Amino acid sequence: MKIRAPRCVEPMACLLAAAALAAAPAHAGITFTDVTKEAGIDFVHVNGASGEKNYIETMGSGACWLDYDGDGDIDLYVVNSSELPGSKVTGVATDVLYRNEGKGRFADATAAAGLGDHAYGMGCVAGDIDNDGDPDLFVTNFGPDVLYRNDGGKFVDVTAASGTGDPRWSASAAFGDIDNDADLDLYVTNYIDFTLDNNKYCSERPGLRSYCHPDEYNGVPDALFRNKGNGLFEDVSAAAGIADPVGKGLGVVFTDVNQDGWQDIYVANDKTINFLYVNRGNGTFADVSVSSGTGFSESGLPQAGMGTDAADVNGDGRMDLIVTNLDYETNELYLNNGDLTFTDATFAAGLGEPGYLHVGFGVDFLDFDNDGDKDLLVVNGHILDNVEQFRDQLTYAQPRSMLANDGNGKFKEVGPSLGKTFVRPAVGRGLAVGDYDDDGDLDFLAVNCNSRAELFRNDGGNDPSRGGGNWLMLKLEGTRSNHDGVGARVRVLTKGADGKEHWQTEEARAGSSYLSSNDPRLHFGLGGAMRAEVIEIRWPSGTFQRIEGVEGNRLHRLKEPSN
Amino acid sequence: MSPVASILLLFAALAAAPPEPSTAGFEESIRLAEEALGQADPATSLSWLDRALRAQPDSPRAMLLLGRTFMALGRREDALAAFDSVAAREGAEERAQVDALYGKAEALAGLERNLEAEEMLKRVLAAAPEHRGVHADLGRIYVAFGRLDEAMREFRAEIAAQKRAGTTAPGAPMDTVLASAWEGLGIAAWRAGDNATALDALSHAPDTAEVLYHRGLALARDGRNEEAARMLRAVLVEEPDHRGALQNLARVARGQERADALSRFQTLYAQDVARNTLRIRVRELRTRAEQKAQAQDYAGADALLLQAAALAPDDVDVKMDLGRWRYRSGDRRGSEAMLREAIALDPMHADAHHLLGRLFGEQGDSAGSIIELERAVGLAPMNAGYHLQLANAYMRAGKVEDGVRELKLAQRLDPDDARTCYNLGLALAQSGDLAAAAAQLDEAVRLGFADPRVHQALARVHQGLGNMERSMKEQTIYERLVAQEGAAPKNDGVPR
Repeated sequence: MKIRAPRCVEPMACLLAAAALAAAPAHAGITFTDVTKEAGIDFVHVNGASGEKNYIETMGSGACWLDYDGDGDIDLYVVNSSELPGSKVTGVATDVLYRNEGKGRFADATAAAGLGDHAYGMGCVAGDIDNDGDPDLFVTNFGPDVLYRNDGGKFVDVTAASGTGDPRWSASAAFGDIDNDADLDLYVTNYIDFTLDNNKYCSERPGLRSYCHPDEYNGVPDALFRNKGNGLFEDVSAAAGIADPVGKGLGVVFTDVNQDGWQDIYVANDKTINFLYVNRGNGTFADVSVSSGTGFSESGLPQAGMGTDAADVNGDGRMDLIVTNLDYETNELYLNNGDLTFTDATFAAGLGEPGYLHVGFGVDFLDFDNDGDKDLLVVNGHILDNVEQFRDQLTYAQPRSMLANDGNGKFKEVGPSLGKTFVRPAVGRGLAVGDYDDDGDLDFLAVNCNSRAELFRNDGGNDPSRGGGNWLMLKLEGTRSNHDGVGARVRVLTKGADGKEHWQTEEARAGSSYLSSNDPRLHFGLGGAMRAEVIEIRWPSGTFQRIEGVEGNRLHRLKEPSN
Repeated sequence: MSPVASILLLFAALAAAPPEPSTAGFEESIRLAEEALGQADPATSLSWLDRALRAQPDSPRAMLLLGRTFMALGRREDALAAFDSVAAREGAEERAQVDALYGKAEALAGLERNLEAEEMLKRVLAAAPEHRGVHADLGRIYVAFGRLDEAMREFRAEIAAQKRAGTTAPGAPMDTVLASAWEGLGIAAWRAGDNATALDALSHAPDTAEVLYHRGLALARDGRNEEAARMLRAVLVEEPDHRGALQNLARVARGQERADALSRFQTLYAQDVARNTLRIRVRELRTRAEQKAQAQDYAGADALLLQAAALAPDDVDVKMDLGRWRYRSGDRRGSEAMLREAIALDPMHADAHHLLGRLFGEQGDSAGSIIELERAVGLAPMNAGYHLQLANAYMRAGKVEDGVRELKLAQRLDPDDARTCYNLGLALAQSGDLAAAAAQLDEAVRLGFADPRVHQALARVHQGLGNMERSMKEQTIYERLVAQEGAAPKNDGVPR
């Protein structure tokens, strides 16, 4: 594992540099650079469009960061869709695995790793389902999903044996340990009952065919698979109480909303109520979607609901929720009140205006400037590829958004100040955040519909002289919990220059955003602090671990105590 | 009279119930139209505007009022046309042009053409900085753009302008423009996260449901839950099913009131879901029925549509599908029954009246046919096909002048339709205007009208004009075409 030296060795130098920047706008020196080409990422999403406006064409796809070969850096799996009847696509579109070779370069390792799925792919999630130390891969498709077991860097299709080959139109998926039995269970969102045979003619204007609205189709129940521990999964959807037929699931995230040690589930549904399932700890979930206030917009209306993520945005230690929505809706921020109710803080947090004319898909909370709070990254892109013909304010390709957190849960759009990355429009769908160059600031990959995927490197997020800050990365290893510690709740305490204490809370997760999953390592921005005073971990097994005086600006491997 | 005015007048004449016979002149008609509009009776306003425009066809005042009347009816495209006819007029009085631009802006905003609406409003401001309502309308557009700071600026400007103008007398109800500006400022501020401004602005606005609702939200945001609950309860008195009020009342209330609000909210949502599921099922049945009908399995189509009708007895589209497919299958009586049911459900369904009119015409009921087709045209004056059908009905009834008028209207709406030119040619010939008839028939040929009878008609018309050489030439063409295989005209009588 490469260890990066801190950019500011001398605290005084850091302070001086920060002072020099005092007069400059925040984040003035941080940029996100398009390194797609130099990194060797040559992925092009193929949606198979033929003019028939098949619904699936406008919805994909996603990507996953995972260290498949165990060499310490994160590799990249990007899901492709495929040709459809009548499309003029030549060649065969497959998913691609890119092996991180270090020095900012990736190489196509698809065939060597035994991958190359040619189904009409949607998303993916990486997680160690057999606790053997390497991440396995679950790919969602329009059609049967696929589970690949990673055997030391080579993947084997174990779908049939595992029982996870859901044939419906699956979208996002996430791993989480719902019963705290130390293995990863799987939640799969299923979208609508669209098929190529029941493709409907829809139009926004007479004579102008468009992709249909989700209201034109019925929802399909999601699926929850419990890991039985022997490579087999059991469909417990109905028994668990999550098989609500009206869901049109697109995004999912596991999070512990009531801090009782059990993983809860939040599902973003398209134009129907979003689901919040609270884990009762006995294999069943309580549906608190309505009573929690997270099912609808503040006006009580169902919204689009594509991507979702969870994080503590206001520093109160509770996990808050974000859902990306359509144009003329808002990306909805729900603040956790701690009593299984949430307050819709979208407008109060400054999220009412940015992106009002955008259609948000992939979304992640991340600390891009390492100042110790969670910022918000959204990739946007309209559903309707001909929207300009009937809406004079809307565009198909739309700019990405980076919304900086002021430390108190109030956000402001800062994207354009971070470079062309946030000005140049694209038809964004999947978003996967990760530190691929191991320099302590978070980069991201955006998957664009029927276009090139793009890799953006964060330059300056780890550099106080450029408006960035110090950082800390944690790689968890469970012993009594699942191997990657998915579901662990981690709190980090730092002290500012004025001695003021600052707690940050994170959860280890496998799957969030839209059709994607992020770098499995936990990332904390430390701001001006050079170390974490305290790290507290509550492992899924219930084990509590406390570590003091952890050095910043490096990656630490933290193993769960065995007793 | 401008083409737009003539078309729009047709609506006015045919769709509105005619008032009592009156000798009212232009001014009186305008006054009565304004009065009716002020009393939220746009249909009566239209009938008075019909008289006004007949008296002075090019009156900008009448056209502006016609635009406002169409806006009141929700007919934004027609309103836009009416306003445009004044705005685009060279030499029009400046005030009238400004009002026309403003009207255009409102119509465009209603059509969600907000960029164009913004441009219109800026032009109005440039020409008339104190024009009432412009700033507030810009504010609403900026809210639609998500540009809340600009929206708030515009609402503030409107409030300042209305105060300067003293539009609200002491003790009198607040002027509507001022009220809407306060409401707009309050809602924009709330969306921008500026709770203090939101509460202040909303405190000035009259107690509409939307104002009460946003006051409630702003109070809740400040943690003033008791007051918030009071506001939200007041909303529910006016609108018991207000989703936002129910959801937010559940948030700020306690105990049984919270449980009741949640329960009601959940019930309403479940009803929405059930309604949408039903709509999807009905659409599937209609789609399958159409596929059956296209394959000429009309019995199969009927069976599927009857299933749909059983699921959704009040669905007009299902009745219309039954009406159409029964008509095509030859079941005229069954078709009529369904079309009548459609009209019973939706008296303003233009296509139902149109199809019924054609059905009556085929059955020889001229009077009935004309009544229904006039209704269709009145409801959809921009539909060229309806005008064409009405013209045919008039001609069959021997009302040649009416037939000519309708055909000319149809031609204005669709100048490149060969069939219209042909029918107009025949009608003009019947009315005795042979020269005009010849011109129309020639145009039909130029546009590619394939029916050989156009040449027969040309032969007769030119004979009447004394152009024997031309007449014989056309007759020869006609006979040659008829003799050719496949030259018979196609049947186009299928209603869609």
